[in-house]
Amino acid sequence: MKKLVTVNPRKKIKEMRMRFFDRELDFRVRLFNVLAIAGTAISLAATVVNLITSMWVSAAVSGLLAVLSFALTYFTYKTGKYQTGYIITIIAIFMVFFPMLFFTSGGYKGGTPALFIFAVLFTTLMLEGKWAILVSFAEIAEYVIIAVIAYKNPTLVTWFATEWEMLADIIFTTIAVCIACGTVIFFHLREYEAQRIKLSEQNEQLKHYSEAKSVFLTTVAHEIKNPLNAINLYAHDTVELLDEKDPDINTMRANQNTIEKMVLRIDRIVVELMDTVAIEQGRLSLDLAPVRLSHLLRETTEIYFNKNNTGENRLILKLDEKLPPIVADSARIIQVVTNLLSNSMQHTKNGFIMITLKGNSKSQIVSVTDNGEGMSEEIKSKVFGGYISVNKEKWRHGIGLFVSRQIIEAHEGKVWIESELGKGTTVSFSLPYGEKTDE
Amino acid sequence: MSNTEITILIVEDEPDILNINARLLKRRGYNVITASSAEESYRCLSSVTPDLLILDIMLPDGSGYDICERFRSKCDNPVIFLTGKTRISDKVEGLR
Repeated sequence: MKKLVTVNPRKKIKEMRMRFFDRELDFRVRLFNVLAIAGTAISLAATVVNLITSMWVSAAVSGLLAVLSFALTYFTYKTGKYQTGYIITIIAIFMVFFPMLFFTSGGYKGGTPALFIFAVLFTTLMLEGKWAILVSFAEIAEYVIIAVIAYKNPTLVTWFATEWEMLADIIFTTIAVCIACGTVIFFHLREYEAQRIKLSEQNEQLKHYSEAKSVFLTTVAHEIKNPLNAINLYAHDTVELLDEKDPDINTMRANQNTIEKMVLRIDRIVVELMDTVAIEQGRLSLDLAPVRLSHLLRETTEIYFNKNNTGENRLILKLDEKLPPIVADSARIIQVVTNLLSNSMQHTKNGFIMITLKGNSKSQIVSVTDNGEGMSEEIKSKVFGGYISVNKEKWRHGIGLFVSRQIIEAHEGKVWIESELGKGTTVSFSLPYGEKTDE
Repeated sequence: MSNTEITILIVEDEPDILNINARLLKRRGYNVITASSAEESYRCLSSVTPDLLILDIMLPDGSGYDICERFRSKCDNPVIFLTGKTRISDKVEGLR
């Protein structure tokens, strides 16, 4: 295999920028990168200035500082060991190089003391907790001591030869430190602001989520309470019938059937609840095998319809029997179809419920159509969203459709709805042939 | 007044619940009329004034509260809400 390698300089710079300053990186890492790169640049500039002003020793120290800053940037960039980078910076640069610079370029009669302010600021930001306090105090103590040593032993210091050189050093160092400190504070505030916005957004989301959860729990409680009530009443009726002289066996049998139906309804709610949790945790699994949809639909709908047809509806099947088998999880597809049927049956009285199966080159399409109540545009737009967005008064089918959509989408298929208030509803889903459509 | 003289109207959209309530009350001798939608209940109420009204709150074509309000404008007979709603706010709504 030939591989084409092209180097686009603009892309490379963008890549470097992402690697050094990306917002996903830790605040300290980005700050360190900015300062290490700036430090390299400033030290290089200082070396040039020192060379121009013939401060040979200072030029050597600045040059070394530039090399060290660059080495640190490179080391942390390659290894990702930022913690080590911070510690080396503090010990080697702040506690060794800065004092050397102090003695070699003008002592306290120059710009070096300004660097100490920056060192302490950087230290408190880079280290955590008590280490930040301890090390910054150690630095302050060191800087005070070297200043006193310089005062007591002036011969140890390479003083600037002229006032002009001193002024140039003070101006240069002060500007560099101001820029560095400004950058640090700017970054810190920007980060703080970003965190604050993120936190308030998360709070808002949590509040919304918590409200949705309570609506959901109330909803589920109601959904379970209704069939439980029915079970209670039908069982009570059977007991009363048993007390009669000549108990009506047929009514008692009908009561038992209703109780069974109600238990199945509760069972379905519980299964859907478990599925909702599985979907939220991303572990909805499919047991795939070739399945002939026309057979599956005929069996499922006829059994389910005959058992639950309380609304005096007619069942119409329009199934293309010639379609080939399709790879799907048949138990899950049955779950979707019975859910759609149940929704249609609960919202249709003295009407029809039609199941259609059609196919094209890419997929097979199943539709459940009724001429029942239909739904408003508002509910239609929310109906697949699960409990989060489902209208409180229409929660009955909230979880079922949410679960159905997830099941069809797990099959790489699509679900859609057409509905008009007062005219009826059609819910359709497509199941693709899988590998044949992979192009 | 014997039970046979007492007329009860039950409004409930779920047939299983409607039928069993009607059956249990009929067995106790009450005169029971049923309605499975708000519209049907208004039709019943225009010809009969039940001694007791049993209402479901959530109906496909309206709310039990509205039926109660219309019933209240006609008479002071008792109303029972048959519902899964148990929050205080729902109770207050029913008492208005």
